Amino acid sequence: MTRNVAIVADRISWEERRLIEAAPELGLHVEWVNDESLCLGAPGAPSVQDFDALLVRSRSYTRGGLVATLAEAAGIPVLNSARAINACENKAVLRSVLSSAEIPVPDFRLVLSRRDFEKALDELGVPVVLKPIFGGMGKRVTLIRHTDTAQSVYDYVEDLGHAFEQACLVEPYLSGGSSVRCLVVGRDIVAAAEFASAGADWRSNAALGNRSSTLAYDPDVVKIVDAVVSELGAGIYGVDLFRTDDGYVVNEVNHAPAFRGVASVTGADIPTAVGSFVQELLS
Amino acid sequence: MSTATLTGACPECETDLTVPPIAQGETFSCPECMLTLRVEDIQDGRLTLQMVQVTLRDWGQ
Repeated sequence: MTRNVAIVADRISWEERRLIEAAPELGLHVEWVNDESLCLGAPGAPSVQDFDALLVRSRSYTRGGLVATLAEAAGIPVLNSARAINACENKAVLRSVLSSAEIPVPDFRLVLSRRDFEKALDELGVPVVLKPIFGGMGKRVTLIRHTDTAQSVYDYVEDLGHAFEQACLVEPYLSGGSSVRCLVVGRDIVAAAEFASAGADWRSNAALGNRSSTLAYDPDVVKIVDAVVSELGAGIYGVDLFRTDDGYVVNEVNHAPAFRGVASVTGADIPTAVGSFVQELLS
Repeated sequence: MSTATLTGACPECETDLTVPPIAQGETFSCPECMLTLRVEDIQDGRLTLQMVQVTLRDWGQ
């Protein structure tokens, strides 16, 4: 029996198209459902009740958790779980969740004011990275190498329109701008690659299209990713790691990860892995 | 695989458009006004399009 799965997102990109194309061979019918037109809240979630599962791929850091929470409450199976999505959408919450489970994360300070910012600089020293609590794709992530420019950088944070956008983390600058991106499906790493800074931009976020090199599966990588999945539950995640002298630390976890870069570097068939995982959950 | 093109009109500048096969929910830029258009529906090879932001302000994944 073919199972109906909705990809919930505001649009279809490369990843979602590949998931839709791979679905029929796995006994799935996958279609796009616009995340801005579900009007959830009514008992039984009529806008999604005909689907066997929702694959939440909202890039929005507000929509994903809200949609997952309400759909799950209405009894619709959701991937990833609302708990996982809500944790991943907020960098401070995620680090707290992981730390509580004794999973190593970078040292950081929550910065909600200039006073916080100054204290964070005093405690951590430069270089540090200033990043928004809510956000991703490397946007507004700023490397501060010198204390004499730090205050003027923070002027821009203060000028942002809403406290929601002003909430930041400050953390030490680790790994020289490189990171290890692990694509997890279910409980397994299906692809892993290291992304290093290239060209004129220090950021190594995969979404920025920097050069990548394949990463041999490393027992230390497997161990820390296993711990993350144990805490968040089986799902589809992009787990970003920094390599430090003391071992790997979890930088962030994306609940709707882009995987074009890591798939092209490793050759992994991620759409089939995702479809198989969804089918397994529904059977 | 079908290679038939699809047609539609830009809802902003009203330019007639002919595009390669594209799925509901995908986006492309209008070649005339450069706005980002999302495919809302496809009926008999005819696209219903809506202008959307290039990226949403709260994109973060």
